[in-house]
Amino acid sequence: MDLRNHITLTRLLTVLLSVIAPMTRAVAQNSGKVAAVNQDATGTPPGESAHTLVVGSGVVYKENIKTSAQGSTQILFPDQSTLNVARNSSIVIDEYVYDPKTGTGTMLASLSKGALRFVGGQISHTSGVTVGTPVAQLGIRGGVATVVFPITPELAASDSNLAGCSGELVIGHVGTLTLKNKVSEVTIRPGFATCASGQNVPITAPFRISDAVLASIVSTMRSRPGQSGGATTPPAAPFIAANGVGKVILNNPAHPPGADPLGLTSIFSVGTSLAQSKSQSTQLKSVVPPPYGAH
Amino acid sequence: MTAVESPARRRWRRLVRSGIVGGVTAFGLLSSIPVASAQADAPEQNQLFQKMLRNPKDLETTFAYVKVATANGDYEAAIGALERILFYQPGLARVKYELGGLYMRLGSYEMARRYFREALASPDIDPITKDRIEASLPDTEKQLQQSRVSGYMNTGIRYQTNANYAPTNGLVSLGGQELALLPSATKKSDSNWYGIAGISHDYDLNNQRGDTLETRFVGYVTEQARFSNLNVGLFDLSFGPRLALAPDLLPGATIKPYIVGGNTWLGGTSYLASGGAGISASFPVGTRFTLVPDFEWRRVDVNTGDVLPISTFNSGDWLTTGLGVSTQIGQQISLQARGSYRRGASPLDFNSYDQWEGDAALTYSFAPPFGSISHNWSVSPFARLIRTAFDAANPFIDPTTVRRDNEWITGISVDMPLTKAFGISTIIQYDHTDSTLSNYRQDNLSIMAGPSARF
Repeated sequence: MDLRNHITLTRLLTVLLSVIAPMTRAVAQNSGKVAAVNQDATGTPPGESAHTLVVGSGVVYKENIKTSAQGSTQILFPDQSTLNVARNSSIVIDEYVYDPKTGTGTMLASLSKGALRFVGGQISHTSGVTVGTPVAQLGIRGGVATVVFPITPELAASDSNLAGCSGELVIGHVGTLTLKNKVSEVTIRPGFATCASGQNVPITAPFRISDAVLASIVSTMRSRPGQSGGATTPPAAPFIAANGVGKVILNNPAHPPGADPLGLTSIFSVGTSLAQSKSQSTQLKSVVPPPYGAH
Repeated sequence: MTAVESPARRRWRRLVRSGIVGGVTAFGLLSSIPVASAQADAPEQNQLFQKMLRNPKDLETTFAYVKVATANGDYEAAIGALERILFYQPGLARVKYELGGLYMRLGSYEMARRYFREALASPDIDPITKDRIEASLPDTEKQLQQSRVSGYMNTGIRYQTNANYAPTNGLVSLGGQELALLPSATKKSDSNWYGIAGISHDYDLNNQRGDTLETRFVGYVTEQARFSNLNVGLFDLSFGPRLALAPDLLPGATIKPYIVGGNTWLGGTSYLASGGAGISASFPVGTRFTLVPDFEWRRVDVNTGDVLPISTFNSGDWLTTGLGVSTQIGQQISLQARGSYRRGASPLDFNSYDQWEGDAALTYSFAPPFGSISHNWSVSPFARLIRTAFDAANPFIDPTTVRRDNEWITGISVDMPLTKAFGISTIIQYDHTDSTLSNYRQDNLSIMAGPSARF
């Protein structure tokens, strides 16, 4: 290699490194962090061996997170979104890029086994989050979603709508979800669910999710007796109360006419204006007659 | 040669122009507010988040973050943090209740129901939290039904200082002369019994756009102690589909074409019958702001029983366009406001009018003084300005003076639920009308109070 080529190559490498280094830092800054974990839960970054997850562990690009039959974890991301990973699960964060200045970015995750619940942050509100499974791709926009893969026979038996479903179950909680595979695409609204049994099998029409199915899934994302999610001092009920949790009084989401102050006073106003119209025309028949000769 | 435009056509153009201006303004407002939850950028929330990210087990920071995120309307952020608390300690009933409430406010009623049920099953649940859940769980479950009926009813006694709406100075114009009212017709107080019913029925079409069929009914009845000729009975019924406009582009935005009709009786005689159609839309902006533009046409048939056309209203067409706004200013304060314009077109110019109306109510909700009551109480000061300008002078009233009214209504409404279904509702309001004609200059203080019911 002559000197000129060497210099050119060196310059090229310098430029490449100057570009790649900040990108690597950006990815590292943007990776998630384990916020709660029940063992066994492991993380396997690309090219490295598996390590036990502990609260505070960073989750890097392409890291494979696995939980055992007793394990579960919550990963917290810089855009304030969270991912609850159920027992017996395996996920990979395929891509996570977030720019806090603009509140935009992308997130791609793969679920190859188990269940997760994604609770959206800035990325899902501005661009979108994608969760893939071997049978379909889920797009999450502005919301909260639960994904299960594969659907276990026990879960399928808990709701007649799941009869015959064996692949991916997607439940919409908040926002707009779009599930697509090679042959179909379905939009899922909050409170509804659908299942995809294979890349080449049409996705089923969405149906209302039953509480039995939800209860079954939620229980797999929760600490079991004796587990504390990695907290050294689990919060006690008095501490919770002292911090103002559970003090809210909820308003009825139904709004029949008259239930709001403007609606109620408007009803009175309509009745009053008509009675007023009638009374004011009637009054014209009850006047003191003008003196004789007056104009 | 210049084409002469008829007054009716001019008014149509004015109405259409108002609609366009309103629509453009609404669209401009929508466009200027980012769809993303801007609250998540709040510095305090971000600072707490960074601190929490460094040490997720820091419970005090986590609860402070939950509090700030909730106050900012960033309910998803609060959910993520509280679900983590359940990893640390899964049996906390209050946390489950709070999570149910957050999901409920996001319209995720299936998750709200799940958390409420889990909280009820928690051994550490305290009686107050249990009461609150038992009050909210049926509301949540109703939202998950395909066919949903909800209602509000209120009955009570109303006292008015000027129940016969007589002019303040006791003088009226008739045929251009100002005459004194007979003592029997001057300002008199009266009390009346009233009953109000507002019923809504939503039928969810169960499609993934979230379309529903909406039916709305309003009924109002009064029985005066003295002026029985002013007893009112009215109903109004509307029906139409509420359709998602563009679920992907404008999530939550809906449009509702509807048909509407109703009738009013005064003193037991049919006074005003109306029927028509309208279209309204709803544009949520972020989690706490909603714009509601609307347009409605009604054909109105008025049976005044008068020999001469001396009443305010007469048969014709009412064309109304408006823009409503509702916003959650803080956790406990909300604002409702609406501005509207109506063209009342009657065959007679002096019964035709332009009317502008502005309403606003500020509602402060607060926990009742007794822990056993599981619904918020609220106080709502409100104000309404109605400006009416008739096209021409009524020759039977005063041929030289065109009627122009400015009516101010101000007051306060207090709602005190005592149980899940029943409560006490009170309104105190003062009406004052200025007019170019003495006939319509009046003031009236009203006090309405009585039990209310919700289901």
